[in-house]
Amino acid sequence: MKSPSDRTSSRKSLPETDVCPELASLGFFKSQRLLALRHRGLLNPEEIDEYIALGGYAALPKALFDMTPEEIVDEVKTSGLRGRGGAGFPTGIKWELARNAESKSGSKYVVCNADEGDPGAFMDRSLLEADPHAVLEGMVIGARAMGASEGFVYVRDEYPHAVRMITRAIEQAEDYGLLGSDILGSDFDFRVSVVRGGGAFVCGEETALMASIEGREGRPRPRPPYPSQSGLWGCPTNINNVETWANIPCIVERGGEWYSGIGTKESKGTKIFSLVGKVVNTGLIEVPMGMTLREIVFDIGGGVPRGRKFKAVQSGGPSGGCIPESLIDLPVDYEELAKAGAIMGSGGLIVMDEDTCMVDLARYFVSFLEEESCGKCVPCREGIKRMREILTDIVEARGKEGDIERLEELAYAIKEASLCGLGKTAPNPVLTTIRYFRDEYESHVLHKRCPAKVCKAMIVYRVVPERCTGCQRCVQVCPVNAISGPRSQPHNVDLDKCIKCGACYEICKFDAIAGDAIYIE
Amino acid sequence: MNGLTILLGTASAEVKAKLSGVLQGEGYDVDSAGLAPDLFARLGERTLDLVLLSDDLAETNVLDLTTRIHDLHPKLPIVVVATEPSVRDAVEAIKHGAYYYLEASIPDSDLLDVIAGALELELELIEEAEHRRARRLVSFEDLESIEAIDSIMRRHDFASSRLVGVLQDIQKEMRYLTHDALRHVAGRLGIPLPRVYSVATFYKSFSLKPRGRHTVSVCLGTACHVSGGVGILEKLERELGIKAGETTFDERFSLESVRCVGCCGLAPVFVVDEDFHGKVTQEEIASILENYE
Ligand SMILES: Cc1cc2nc3c(=O)[nH]c(=O)nc-3n(C[C@H](O)[C@H](O)[C@H](O)COP(=O)(O)O)c2cc1C
Ligand code: SF4
Ligand code: SF4
Ligand code: SF4
Ligand code: FES
Repeated sequence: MKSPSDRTSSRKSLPETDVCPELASLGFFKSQRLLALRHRGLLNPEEIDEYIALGGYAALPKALFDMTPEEIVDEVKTSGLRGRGGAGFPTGIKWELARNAESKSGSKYVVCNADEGDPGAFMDRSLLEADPHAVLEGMVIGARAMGASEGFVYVRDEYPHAVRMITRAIEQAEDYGLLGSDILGSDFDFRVSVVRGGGAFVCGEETALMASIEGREGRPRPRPPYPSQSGLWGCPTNINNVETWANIPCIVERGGEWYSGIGTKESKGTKIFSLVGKVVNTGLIEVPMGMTLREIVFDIGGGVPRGRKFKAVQSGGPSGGCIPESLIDLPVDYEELAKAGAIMGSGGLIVMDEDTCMVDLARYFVSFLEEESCGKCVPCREGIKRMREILTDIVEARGKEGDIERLEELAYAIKEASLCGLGKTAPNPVLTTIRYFRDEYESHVLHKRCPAKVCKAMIVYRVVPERCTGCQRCVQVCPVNAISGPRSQPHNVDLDKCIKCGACYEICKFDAIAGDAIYIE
Repeated sequence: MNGLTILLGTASAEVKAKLSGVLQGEGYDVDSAGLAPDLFARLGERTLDLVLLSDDLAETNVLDLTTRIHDLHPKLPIVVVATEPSVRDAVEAIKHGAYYYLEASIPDSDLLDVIAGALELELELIEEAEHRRARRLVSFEDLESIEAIDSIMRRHDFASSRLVGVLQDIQKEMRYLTHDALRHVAGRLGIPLPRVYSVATFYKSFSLKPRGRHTVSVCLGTACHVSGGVGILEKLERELGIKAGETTFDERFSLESVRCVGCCGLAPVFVVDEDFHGKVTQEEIASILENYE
């Protein structure tokens, strides 16, 4: 068993002369490639001058004066950039559709989707907070390419700081003539306003998002018509994710050809991932498409802390799936992830170790989606609820034979018959956990055992008398006084009182003098 | 009579008697047909608000029928009642345009709920319920609040499309949305009150109940979930003596769970007002809360 302090010693030690090592020489940064995050930590986001000093707003005049709108679209097509918001639709093609669409009233709109609903992903927030002008510059270029005169940034209300940063950036860009009328004397007008979301996951879906911008409740509607045909107030509208927009200035400046040289055959460029969960180095990373999960989790992430065993990575948020250890050498791009039953999604990578119960995790996602379903269509609303009920029964030791098959049948119905992406992808976390961890499900259903020792109905906390030194740390933290024993003598857990909060286990494992005297069975 | 007409397609006298009874009891006008041609004749003759199809019509597959009706009248809601239900049929029915697929054995009240939902009667129901609830709450009549709300709406140019933003700002200022506030907003922005209510109840960030001076939000996003976020929430519930979604008696704290606050690297996380507390342990919680009066 490694102690927490081993975390640092397992990293490569630096030669003593390197008092202040270069960032690039650290394991965490060595294999990263920063494009969208190119200004990470280098500028004060509240000062437009700092963005300009680092070469910002250089792509904009190029797009305005040296390129026709068609050439901008072509450059983005050449780059092979695909939407970073989830589905990975080719951005250039989407732009072309919006560019060619007829607008009855003459208006067209562009939207930046910063609703960032996937729990566990925070790259959009970070981009808006740390480099808002890169996103804005991308939007102005896109608006020029598509002939839009108005834009919206739709930000979650849970991100107040991001709202402040992007609002300030808009004001400054207007002062500098980089937004507003007659931008840089080019005759091109474009305005941007910020709209705050109301805290509904489904509002990240593009048709729901537009309903929300129009001031209505954010429920999806059937597509077609696609937003590029009939979007905001019936006009052609192009919606891209924050990270997609942030890549645009780079592409215009250095060329689509250059961008398409990075990544894999079908997935070009770099992707930001938020590497979180049971991993030593947590945070945002940006790597070329096609890097293997092993490199991401072990080389960059530094592996699983506290000497625990790696179990799986959850990718793509609630619509995504779990990738087991056996697929650790999977190159991460849109296609490979889809083959494994997961998706790229917005780029959340949640690392799980042997202490994570896959059935509990599946139930977690399903109850998330149950709450977030907008309720418009039956298969999603009722089907997800039913799945959650079955999964709850399983984790609470009431599972019945045939439950796993019932889950699979429901999954099929929900996938096939739901209206929007939320319902269509809702069963993914259940299906992938069943696919790769069926034994764990069976253990819960048939033997009422939770191998990861997470599901409360199937575990009890006990003290190993031989190990306990009677230090009484556990007595102090137990909320219901379930532990007792004389000082310096083995303690005892009263199982009738214990509410299984785990506080004693944590404290005994890491803070008690003897350590590890409390175990779960 | 509520002025709404439902066409019932069934060949069984028993089903017909049962369903018409239930529907008429609720004030619906009921017309019925036992054969497909009759059904289509009725569809041509009169304006209908909903079609209820049983799967017992002779020589006709209920799925084909659904498709044909849906093609002719895409806006007319169709509810299928199955005497021999199966998941596969349910999927197919929905794909063919049915609004809902029901088992014939469901309780009458559920049937009526589904029909009300299909007819979008829910808005009125929401309004009524909220109305009843709001009357029980302290109502604010003082001009000061009205004045404050007006100035918020002014910032949004009294534009009806800014409804969500207006409500967010009102909530920031007054901590929750009262019935009077919503009614006032509806009037000024020229939006029907039920629509204002449906927006206010749709979005999670709105509260129609009084809230505490401080909001404690526990992240239950995925990263926090796998890192013990549930334990943190349960500890807070015990510490404050309330459940998530409730407010302490002294109105000092409201407790809620949220999905990811975007600091997943610091999991588990909880937020008090705008202060983030990351990598917290259950032990530290009591002392953190002491900082908020
Ligand atoms: C339920 C649901 C939630 C979504 N949430 C988001 C989100 O939070 N952020 C986002 O950029 N896209 C989200 N999307 C995808 C959007 O609908 C849309 O495809 C995307 O914003 C397009 O931008 P892109 O082409 O740059 O990826 C969501 C889709 C669904 C179905
Ligand atoms: S699939 Fe779910 S979230 Fe999407 S429209 Fe239907 S009910 Fe709403
Ligand atoms: S913390 Fe562990 S070692 Fe200390 S008294 Fe409790 S069980 Fe025994
Ligand atoms: S798990 Fe919690 S309630 Fe049970 S003995 Fe340990 S500290 Fe007490
Ligand atoms: S999951 Fe808790 S902050 Fe993201």
